Amino acid sequence: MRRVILLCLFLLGAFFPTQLCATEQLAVIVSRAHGGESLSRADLTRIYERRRRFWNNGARIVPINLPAEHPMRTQFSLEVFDKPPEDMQDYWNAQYFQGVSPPYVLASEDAVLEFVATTPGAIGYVSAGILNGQVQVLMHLPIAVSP
Amino acid sequence: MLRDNVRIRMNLVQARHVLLSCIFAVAVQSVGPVASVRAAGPVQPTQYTLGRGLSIGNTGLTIGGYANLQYEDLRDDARRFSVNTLSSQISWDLLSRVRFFSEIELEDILIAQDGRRLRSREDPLEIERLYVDLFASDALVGRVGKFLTPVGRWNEIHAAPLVWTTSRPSITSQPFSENTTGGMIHGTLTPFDYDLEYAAYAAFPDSLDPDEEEGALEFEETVGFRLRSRLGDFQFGASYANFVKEREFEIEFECEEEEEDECEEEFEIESRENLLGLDFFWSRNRYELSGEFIYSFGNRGIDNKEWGLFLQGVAPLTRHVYSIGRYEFFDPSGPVPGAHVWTLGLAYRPIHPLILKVEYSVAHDNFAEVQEGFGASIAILF
Repeated sequence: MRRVILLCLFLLGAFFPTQLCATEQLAVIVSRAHGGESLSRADLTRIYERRRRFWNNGARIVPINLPAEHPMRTQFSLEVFDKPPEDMQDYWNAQYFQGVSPPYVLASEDAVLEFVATTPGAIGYVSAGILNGQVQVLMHLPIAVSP
Repeated sequence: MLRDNVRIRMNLVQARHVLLSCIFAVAVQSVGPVASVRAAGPVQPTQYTLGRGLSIGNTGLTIGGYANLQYEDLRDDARRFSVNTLSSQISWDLLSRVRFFSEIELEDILIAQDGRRLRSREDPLEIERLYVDLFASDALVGRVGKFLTPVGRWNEIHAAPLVWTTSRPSITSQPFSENTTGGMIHGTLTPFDYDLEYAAYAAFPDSLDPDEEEGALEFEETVGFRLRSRLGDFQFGASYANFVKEREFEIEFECEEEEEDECEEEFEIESRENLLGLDFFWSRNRYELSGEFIYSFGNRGIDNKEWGLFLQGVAPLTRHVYSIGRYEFFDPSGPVPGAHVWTLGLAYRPIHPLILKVEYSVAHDNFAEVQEGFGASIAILF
């Protein structure tokens, strides 16, 4: 009986890997004072490529990144740019030549959470699991976590 | 007559320097009262990152640049090593809606060439860019000053650490002025959630390039626009420019020694030109494909058409080594036929801000005197 259950679990895992593995999500967050402006996936890409600088109400957007080696940064980059952070170097080299700097980097998800909660116009991303009531979630992004 | 021309030109150059100085002064004045106001980002230490420059805390000020050392062994030319470019770049986000940007470079400050003594270029200092951007919104940004002429992709990212070859395709510089001093509006529109970047610009009247040399081409009264969009990994652009192209040259006559002043006469040909350009860029998994096409026609003279194109591919060989292949065709105006140029190169990129390049170019029907031969360079963003 035990073997049968294990076999079922294995088959379930083989056929539905996402359902079993993707229990975590990334939450794209802004401060609670942000208002009701929604965001498309393309907008998120523009913001993190620094091609979009302003919210619809005219406030400056302050995008916040995690360090390049942070696993959540890799997940975010794959999801939003379809490439890992290191493959964005050419893009940022070209932007640097135009006087455009990449988003600010904060060391941890807690720091991102705290900064976004207290800074109007800021936008960041953290694991959905650490959310508190101080921020507003604009969208969720799936994370492909290895089992 | 020559003296008058020179005097007028000097006055215009001075006027332009005054104008550029005014832009700088306005930028500095505007930052004065707000220098103590922190940018809206998190508290940042003053830090230097190779390839990203020196960021001064939360002032919004970033100082950096790039350098390029170059060796060339070109056909019909003596071997030459040069400290080709030493460029300083200052970017200053003064307020959330104002950005000052400058790029000032020293060109050919050291040249070692076969058969000649060590020297440097006579006037090596060049203001490559100096402008202020005023952001009304993402869709509307005003720019005033000296900027890179938005024709094609190469000209706007022409810095040595950002391109794969030491040589530059002729069509990315010869048919138009690389810089324009004037005003521009630009921005990003997002119809149906697609990106459409635009730029429309016009040169100030009588603006002259302070770096111009006698006999050089001059481009004046420039107006133009550029559109650029992207679909996934594929970017494509279209450019149009209209300008007056002036070419000065001297004809020498045989004459008696005592009449030496009469032995030269200066001529000037002026033509209004229309330039159309198309370009694309594709990149995926470190592979790249890019190309540009230019067609320019003037209203004066016979054979007044100028056109060309290039197609370039880049493929990674190892983690840090890339191979580059390029085909280029350039048909300048006039009776000379167009030149075909093939370039093969290798690039080594041990870290991202640093690139070492070697290449060899061969040209056919090269009456247009397009550069061909061996080239190597080391370039770094700092």
